[in-house]
Amino acid sequence: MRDSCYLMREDSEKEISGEDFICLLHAVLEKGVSLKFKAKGFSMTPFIKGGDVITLAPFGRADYLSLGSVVAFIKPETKHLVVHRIVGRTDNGFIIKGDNVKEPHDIVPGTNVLGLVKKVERNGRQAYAALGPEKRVQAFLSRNTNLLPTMVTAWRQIRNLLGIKTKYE
Amino acid sequence: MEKKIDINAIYKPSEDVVARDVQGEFIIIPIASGVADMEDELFSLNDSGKAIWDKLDGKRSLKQVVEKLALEFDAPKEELEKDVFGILKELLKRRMLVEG
Repeated sequence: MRDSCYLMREDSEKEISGEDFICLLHAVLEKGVSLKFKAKGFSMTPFIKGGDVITLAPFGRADYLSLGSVVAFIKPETKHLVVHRIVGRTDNGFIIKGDNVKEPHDIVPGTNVLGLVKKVERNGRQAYAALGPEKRVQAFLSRNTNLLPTMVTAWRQIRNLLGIKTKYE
Repeated sequence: MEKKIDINAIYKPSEDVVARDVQGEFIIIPIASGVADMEDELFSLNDSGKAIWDKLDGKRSLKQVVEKLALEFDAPKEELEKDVFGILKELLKRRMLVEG
């Protein structure tokens, strides 16, 4: 039975995905605790990029979620975990869409929404993810157009030209 | 100074961890800080560690844990006791166990 090391720290590249990750996420959020994990994909670019570290928090009741909130939810058709933005609400649930996808939005029952994105970190620093009051504008843009990434790029160029820095830089 | 472990003491998993079997590994994530950090604070227990963890249920004393392990594994009790004390020290250092 002898082993020299019983408890090992896993390196940050360890990948837990699919149902196992969802199970772990449930277990953590049920305890009222936030979970930090690495984002994958590009559907929320430029606000959340692959490799960014997301802090996902429990939100209590679905009433506490508002337009523009970025949430982790179980996609009803595929049962996959997805992190996208709430862009509206219907009697059947939330209307949720990625900021950088052309595909139609999802209608997601409140019970499928697991957690609320509170913070996004990129290269060890807090990244701007439109999670403040401006999230409502982002929700509008995301729902009605796919202009958002273009607008963000344009804004960055203007900002660089004018030498404006945000508090995240 | 390191606290001496009593063979008659009873231990159980702390409320401040989330522990799950994940993809064939037993994963422990501390949550005492209010954030479960999968990037920097993800631990796994080896098979020996998991066998011991399962028996630290807040009911059995360490002596009883060793006796139970002796029934499962073909190993001398002295050796099993060393294993139990070894893992206990590691888990207590990280506050993953509490006295039950």
